[in-house]
Amino acid sequence: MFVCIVHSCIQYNTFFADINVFVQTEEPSDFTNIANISFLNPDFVVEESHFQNIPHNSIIILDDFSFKVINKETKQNFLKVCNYILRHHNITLILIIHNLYSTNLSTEISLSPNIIIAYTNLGEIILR
Amino acid sequence: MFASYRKIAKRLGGNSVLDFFHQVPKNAHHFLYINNSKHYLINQVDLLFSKSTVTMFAENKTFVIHQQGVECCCEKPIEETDMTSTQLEDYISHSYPKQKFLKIISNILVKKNLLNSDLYFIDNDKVHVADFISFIINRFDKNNKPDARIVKLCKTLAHKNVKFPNVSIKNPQAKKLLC
Repeated sequence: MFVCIVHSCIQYNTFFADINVFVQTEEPSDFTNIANISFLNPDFVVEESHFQNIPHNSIIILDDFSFKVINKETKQNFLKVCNYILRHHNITLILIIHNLYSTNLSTEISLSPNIIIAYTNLGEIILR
Repeated sequence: MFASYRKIAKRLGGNSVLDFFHQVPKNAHHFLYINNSKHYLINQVDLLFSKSTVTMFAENKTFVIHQQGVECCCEKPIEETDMTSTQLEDYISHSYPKQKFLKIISNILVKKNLLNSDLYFIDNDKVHVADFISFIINRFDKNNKPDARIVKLCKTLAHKNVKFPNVSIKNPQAKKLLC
């Protein structure tokens, strides 16, 4: 497993304390120890329209993230969110990724500013 | 060029980044943190929250991060002279508890760095300090011819201008050479 933090506005001394956290996951029990947590619908995708209702200065965690549909528009939407919405709304997007293959995320991972990887073969592949 | 930029290790320092990654065994339940914008990595970053020391890699240099006020993880190595001194003091205090002047002898031997870690003399590695001490404190050994190796050692010490207090040497033959 590794975490790819695409855009981070977190002040570490206030980590998860008074911040709204939005999580999309199939295992809600894994996130029970986070305060102020709200679960996102399974159809939430990284698009500008889905970020309209997300308040400023919040954190979004997308567990087991991948590009379900890969085309030019999907990537453009993703980049638009990263380069504009996250930056101007002070939103931190944390992608938790369990697999590199068939996720179409190689470029996005290598260009994300903060990456946390486990000491596994997959972690080494990402680092290489 | 873009393809090379996409490779994280190349961007952050090449093969030494991979060496840094390999310092932690695979499948250890820890995490590596990569900061792509500031170009640094932190091994076992999760240990930062459990008050342990962690290592950071930046610009081909490794740094240690630890809690403020805590001693650095790189402990000062115990010097060989300290170990020799302790060993010698232990030996003397156990074997000759009443010989108070032997402490002076041991201090001189350690200070002049005359003994190796096994308490043999560096100048003559066949003579142990136990033999030397038993020779110098034997006040009745007037007529017997002493061991040639010890005499040779005493001459070497005299040549090096190593002197011992008169009161600490009981053997008259040793007194001639060492005082």
